[in-house]
Amino acid sequence: MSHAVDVPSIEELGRDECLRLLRDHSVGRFAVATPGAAPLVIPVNYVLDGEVVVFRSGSGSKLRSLRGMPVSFELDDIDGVRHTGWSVLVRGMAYEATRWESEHLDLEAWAPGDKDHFIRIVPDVITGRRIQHADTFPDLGGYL
Amino acid sequence: MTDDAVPNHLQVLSDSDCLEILARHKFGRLGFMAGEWTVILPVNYVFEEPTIVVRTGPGAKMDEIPLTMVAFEVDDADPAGAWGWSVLAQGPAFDISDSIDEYSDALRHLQVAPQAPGDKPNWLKITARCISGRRFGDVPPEPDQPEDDRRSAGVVRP
Repeated sequence: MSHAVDVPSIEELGRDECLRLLRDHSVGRFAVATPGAAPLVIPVNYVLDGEVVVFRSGSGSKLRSLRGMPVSFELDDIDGVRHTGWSVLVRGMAYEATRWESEHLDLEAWAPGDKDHFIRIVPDVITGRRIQHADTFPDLGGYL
Repeated sequence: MTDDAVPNHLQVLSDSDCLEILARHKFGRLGFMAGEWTVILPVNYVFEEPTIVVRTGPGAKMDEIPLTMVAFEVDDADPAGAWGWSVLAQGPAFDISDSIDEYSDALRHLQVAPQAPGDKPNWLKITARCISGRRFGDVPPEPDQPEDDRRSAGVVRP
């Protein structure tokens, strides 16, 4: 490509910056393995309780697949035209919160339906990256 | 899109709605397994039904993804929670970086946002075998993308 001069700069984000971004936002996606099939990726609204990601779930297959499982949780904000932005990935174990772990939280599920269960993802590894361009060619930056 | 969205009801998107959303957008997230962990990565893509084409740099993705079942997700939501939607496609992923068949060659000519110089480009093809979508609330119509931001999906054929 002729506009090969614009090399995107990738900045790795520290844990504190990742936690700040998690605290400042409210929608992310979790991914959970399903035996013998493709993983599920499902968007949820969440709150950060200390360093723990908490969201609500109904009592269906999603909950069963999550409990006690290693999951990942992703958050991003990408400019689709300039291909700049950041993403954060949390890896941790998911478990269903007890009442005392959840009753202090102000967290209503946005999506309709009975979502009586609180899922907590305790972070094991938190990574993040930010991508910036010196220039703003709209067609660059395949790897966000 | 159907017009009978009722607040406080989760609506199942039709297959054609899901396909239209996948075709209209260009940024999504790839979900795959890395050992026992799931990983979610944001990527640019082009959708050529039933194929999602992703171009990546070298790295862990190409060690983990090819010949596994992966998920590809696109979503949007109101920051205040009034509406939201998501589409999830699942299927096998293939590394078509060096494939010599005509279809792979055509896919590699699609305008997926290209790589920075010096990187060996890797092309992934995900065959969407299973597509589903949900929405809730009063989803506003999406603005047309700027002219120079439109993908050239469908331009290149074998």
